[in-house]
Amino acid sequence: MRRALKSSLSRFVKSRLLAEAVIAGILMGAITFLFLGVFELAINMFRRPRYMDNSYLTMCLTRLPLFFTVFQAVLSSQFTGRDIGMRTINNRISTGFSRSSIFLADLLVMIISSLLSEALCAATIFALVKTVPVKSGARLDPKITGLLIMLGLISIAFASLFTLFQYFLSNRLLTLIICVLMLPALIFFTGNIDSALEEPYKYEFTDDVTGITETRYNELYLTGKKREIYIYLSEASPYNMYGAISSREISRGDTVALITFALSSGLGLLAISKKEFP
Amino acid sequence: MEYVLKTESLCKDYGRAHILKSVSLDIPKGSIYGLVGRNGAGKTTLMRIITGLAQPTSGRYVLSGIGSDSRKIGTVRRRMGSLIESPAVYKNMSAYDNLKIQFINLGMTSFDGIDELLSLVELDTTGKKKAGKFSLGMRQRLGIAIALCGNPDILVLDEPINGLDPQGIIQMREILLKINREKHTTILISSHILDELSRLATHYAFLERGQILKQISSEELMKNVRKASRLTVSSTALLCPALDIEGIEYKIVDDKVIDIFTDMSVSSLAALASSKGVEIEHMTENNESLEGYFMNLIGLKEDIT
Repeated sequence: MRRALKSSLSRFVKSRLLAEAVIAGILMGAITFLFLGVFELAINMFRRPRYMDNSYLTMCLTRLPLFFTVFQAVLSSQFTGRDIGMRTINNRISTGFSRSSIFLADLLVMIISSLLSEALCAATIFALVKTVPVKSGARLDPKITGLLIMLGLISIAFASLFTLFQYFLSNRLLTLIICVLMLPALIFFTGNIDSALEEPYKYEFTDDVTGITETRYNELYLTGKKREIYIYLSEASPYNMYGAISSREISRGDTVALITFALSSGLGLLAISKKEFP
Repeated sequence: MEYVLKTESLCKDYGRAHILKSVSLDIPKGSIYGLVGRNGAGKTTLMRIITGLAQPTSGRYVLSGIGSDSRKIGTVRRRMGSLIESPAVYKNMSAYDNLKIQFINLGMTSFDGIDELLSLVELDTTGKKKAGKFSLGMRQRLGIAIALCGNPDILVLDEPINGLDPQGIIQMREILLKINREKHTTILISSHILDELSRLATHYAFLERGQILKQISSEELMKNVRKASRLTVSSTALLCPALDIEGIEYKIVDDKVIDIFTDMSVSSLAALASSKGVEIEHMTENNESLEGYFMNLIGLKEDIT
């Protein structure tokens, strides 16, 4: 396993993916800060004194999964996808690596690089919040630390999922498309869940013929276990993190991320153990 | 005789298709073992199984004394280099970095041998040029260099001269002969270019429809190939009845060219021709090639089936 990990890490460094991950992390942080900063400035044009505190930091950090997933999909395609596509994975298999150690080593490198990029991204945002010439109240409190840990867990889950897809499908382009499309699919899914939860319990109905208005119970209103599941999913979605944190002071993303990680790594190990690469 | 690789009744099925049917091979140490077969005969599948890229449906192989069912097979596999189908290289890395990664794959901590390998395959001047910008021949040679990392005891090469120009083929042949002679590396090689294979191989296995038809050393092959005298005559139609009467084995090539397989003196052949009023215009020794031997074997197999 150590040999496989060393091999994967060397490949990651030699193919300049490490440098690219570092640059991408810093760039993503700077772009998030600038984009949301400009937005903030536009809506609070006349607020004085100008300041940036932890709420701004939270807003920036909770937006990260929106584009960080795409970055991870590309990284996974460049690292694992290219190895399978170029058939260089066969060089490792034929030198006696077990398939499971290859998978685990690649997964570990993907996790390390994702966490590194994300840490750099968060550090860039934090550094910019602290250094821009406005009053700053941003600091690393337990809430921000917890948020960073949860973002890390979500990254790990996506890294594991994308590595599984790369190994399972063994087609770099197709896998990249599927991985990137997961972003709008999950956003759409989250939107659907939220709109189902927002259905009112009762609503006013006016009969067009008689003109009589009556209060009716909404059949689409979710109740019982179903509502609980929907609420759980809504709070667990990485694309609902800001809303979940600011309104309910809770996010279940960590549990779902850990389950996703465990399932996808387990499935990956099972899928690769007998797989014959072209 | 010491064997570096033995396969015992290897079978491989993909769904209902039986790709390999009980293949048993014995590859002597230090030999250049040519695997001859048509497209789809199962050469690549056999090589993929030997290199661990595919699992046999049944049967096993023994590599340097370790069975494929043993846990130690991974360790001995480090003593094997391979180039299956086309070279598997990182196109976004230089030749040096490609070899460095393979050295790391093999668990080697010193990279001293990389320059020597690069000069062996004549890629020492490529510098930082990415492998993606290499010509096919250069990539093929890089593939060979990757296979040679760690000074392997056995090299498994599947069609290593595919797509190479004549100069590239000669270069490849020289590299392989050099490795075999100087480092005593056993080479298992398959090629469609049988003429080229016959210049390298010391042993052959003929594979057809997933079955081994014959294993033979090059000496035995030379003894077995039929020697022929190719005659250019004024008329083969006039000569043939005389050859039939004398019980001489022959094969008509066209109206004027005929191959005589029976060993006989030139003077008696000339006398026989002249007795029928046939003039011998030209005569050459024409040994049956590896290709001919293979085609005869396939012909025999098809006759049997």
